[in-house]
Amino acid sequence: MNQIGTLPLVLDVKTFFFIINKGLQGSVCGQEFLDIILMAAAFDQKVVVLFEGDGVNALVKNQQPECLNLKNMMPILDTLPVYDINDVIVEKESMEVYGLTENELAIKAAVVSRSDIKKQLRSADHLFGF
Amino acid sequence: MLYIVNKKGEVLKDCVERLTSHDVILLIEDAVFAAVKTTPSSVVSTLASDISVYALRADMKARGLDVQRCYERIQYVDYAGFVELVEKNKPVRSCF
Amino acid sequence: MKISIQINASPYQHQAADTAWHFIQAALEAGHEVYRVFFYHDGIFNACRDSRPPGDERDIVKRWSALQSEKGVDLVVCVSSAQRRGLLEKSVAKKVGGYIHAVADGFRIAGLGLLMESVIESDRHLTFGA
Repeated sequence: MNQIGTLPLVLDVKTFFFIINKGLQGSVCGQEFLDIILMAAAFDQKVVVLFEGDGVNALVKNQQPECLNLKNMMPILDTLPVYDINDVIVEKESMEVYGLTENELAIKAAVVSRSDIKKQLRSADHLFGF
Repeated sequence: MLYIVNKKGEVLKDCVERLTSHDVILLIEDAVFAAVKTTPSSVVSTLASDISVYALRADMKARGLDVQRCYERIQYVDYAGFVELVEKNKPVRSCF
Repeated sequence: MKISIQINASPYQHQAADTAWHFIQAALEAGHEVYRVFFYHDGIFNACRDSRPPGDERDIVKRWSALQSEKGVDLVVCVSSAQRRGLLEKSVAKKVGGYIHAVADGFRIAGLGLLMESVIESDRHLTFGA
């Protein structure tokens, strides 16, 4: 309930899940997808970024896309907290498929099981993929 | 939760692995081939009975796929039915 | 319900633009509102004025233009996706000496903010991709 003197909310706040399930180098779409994520945060929406499937590889250290004149996405992923995006999660089962452990990831991400992710997804307003 | 899938292979498999009770999956475009009974059988035939599987009728017709050749559990929708599925289910995940 | 649509694939190369168009027709027919169609990634090629399919084939670009002129559906092409792929808005084209008639009737070029607004305002957001 609004108290006297408080400003009404101008925009609805919705929960958006951004699902990265493929590599970020295979097309420019990965890079353009990150642009949508940052825009959602700029609109003060609740943003969750989820890495699953092949997408977990987007988090590994020592990516050198520069060798192909491709843009390195890691600096953008690094700045997510600056945009108030602190919900970065990675699917546990996909990590296991690739034999990855948490300390092999270049940024801080919560490792969450598929079933727990599903519970979160169910309460989301909109899901994005690329 | 509604999953809209547009092709077979890895995309469909990744989606199927993440389905849980009472989810709805809609096969569109080339994913309708997964509705057909095949040897070995399509992943669609392995889904739990509390998952609803729909196929888009126009994409079936365009590809000459007869309902008789498909798994009995598949339900069919036209575009109006597609819209209804979107209205009834939230959130929607497009898998492509 | 209010529906927001995002198209990520070029016309003809993939069925996505066709599926989206048929879906939109059915949604309008059922009395729903299509808040906006946002063209992203290679989806921007749906707005190429000079697309000239053979006379006996569906004309996807003209079909979109008609959707705007007849049903008033807002068609927005992402500016950064479009510039990257060589589709310039008239004033930009003039400035840089580019082709000024690239964008077909009924489409407008704008930023990702309009995608966000569309998604926030809508009950559902559907993405059609390749």
